[in-house]
Amino acid sequence: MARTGKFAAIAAQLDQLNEFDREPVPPDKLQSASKFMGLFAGEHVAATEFVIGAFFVLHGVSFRDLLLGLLAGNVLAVLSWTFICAPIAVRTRLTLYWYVRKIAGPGLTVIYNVANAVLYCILAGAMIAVSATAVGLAFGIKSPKLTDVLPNSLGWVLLVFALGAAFTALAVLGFEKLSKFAQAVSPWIFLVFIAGAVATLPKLGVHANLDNVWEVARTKIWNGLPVAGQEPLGFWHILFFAWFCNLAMHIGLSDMAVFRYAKRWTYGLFTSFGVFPGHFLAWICSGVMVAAIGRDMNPGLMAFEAIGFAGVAAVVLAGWTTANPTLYRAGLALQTITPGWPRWKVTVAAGTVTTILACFPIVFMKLLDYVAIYGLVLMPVGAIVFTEHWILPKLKIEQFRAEKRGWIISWRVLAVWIGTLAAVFALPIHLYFKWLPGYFIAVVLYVSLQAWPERKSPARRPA
Amino acid sequence: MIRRWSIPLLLLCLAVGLAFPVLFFLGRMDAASCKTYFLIASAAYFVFAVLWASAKGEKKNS
Repeated sequence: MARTGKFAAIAAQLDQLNEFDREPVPPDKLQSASKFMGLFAGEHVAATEFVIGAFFVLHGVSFRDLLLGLLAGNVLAVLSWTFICAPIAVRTRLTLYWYVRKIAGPGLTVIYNVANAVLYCILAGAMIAVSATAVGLAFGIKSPKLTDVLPNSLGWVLLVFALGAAFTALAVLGFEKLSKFAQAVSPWIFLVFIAGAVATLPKLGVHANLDNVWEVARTKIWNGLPVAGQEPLGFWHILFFAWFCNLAMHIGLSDMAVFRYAKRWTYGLFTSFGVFPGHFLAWICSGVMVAAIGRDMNPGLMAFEAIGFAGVAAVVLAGWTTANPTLYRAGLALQTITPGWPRWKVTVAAGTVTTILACFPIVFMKLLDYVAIYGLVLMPVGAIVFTEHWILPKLKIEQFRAEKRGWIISWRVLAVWIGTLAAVFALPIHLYFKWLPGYFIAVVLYVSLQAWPERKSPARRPA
Repeated sequence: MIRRWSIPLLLLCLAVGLAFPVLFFLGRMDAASCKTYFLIASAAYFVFAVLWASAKGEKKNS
């Protein structure tokens, strides 16, 4: 489709927002290995960790399945960053935004951005809800039950609105300063996970000499018995969850924005500095803490019982430090469809949508499923970029047609994206496993469509 | 100067903070004291974190 009308104006606006990283990263801007280690060490310890680790206990995962599943899944995630995302980033030195633009056209990057913004808002909504469980303790507001879909009280709604307003105001006031603060806070949040779990062990009956720690873990924490209404999860579910919980970043390639600064693609291995503390230790710690409060999904209460007011502060801060960049990113993505709006206005709009979503407990009570859907929705774009980068040249199929022809949208890319999602949702397998066959479906579909001869049309000047 | 000292102090706060739950686990401290001292160590961590973050900002601006 040629670039015309309103869509072209929106695409131009989006280009302008991303203008600062339009050019490939020059060699003098590349970052050292130690910077990458530091960067990743602070990642993946967020408010979601209080919920995810606890949910594994509620889903009746056994201790053995948990350890092996997390170990294998996290290794696969690190390898995905190393062998899928980092090599493309290092070769192109571009963000995913500009690379998708070459492949799919500027119109499709608008659609991709809006999809991302909606997904970010839901994620930030979950963060606000998690923080609300902690603040609610001080006001005697009951947290929603595991099966609640709608808000359980007016108090909950008011609390969520107050927190949502505060988080949004802070995101409007200054994103950069808050990011620095978040960076400084993240080691402490990780400490709260460890301290909370250690302080909980005596309550679960673990002896000071640790002689019964394995037995307690197997019988009182990860005992293989799901709570009522929760489906049982096993080794493969845990493996896939640990692998796909950052799917949009590695397989979905959004971390190209980070790895384009890497000197070598092997820097992908440094993601293990963030993944193993956050998606292994922190999940285990939150599992220990939830077992001590009778398997009640209440992150605020869980942290308070474990380590007191510091725990409550950690849940609130973890929610806020995760919601803050998420709101900012959502605002940035939405700015493309609200030309002329200042950043504060867009962030307030994103914050309002997020806050309304946060009132509905289903947003964080179904967090595991949401994380799966989030990755699944963006995965086909990663598969298309991978195919375009590695497979098409090998098959001698022309690359970057959207850029060469000046298309605003590559309908083939859009068809593969939608077709893959339709196919995976129809697949009769568990939600957690859908993305992997989906990835191959996207690759095969894209190669087939690109190999199909297109109608002859005169080449346009690059967009 | 502040920046140089704040990093070891931050690490010290984390180490001291972790020591209290360990002492509680070993039965050498009661739960209430553990929570109070952990809160104090956390407050100290935040003071040094703010100093570190502001010193970092000043260094970049200068």
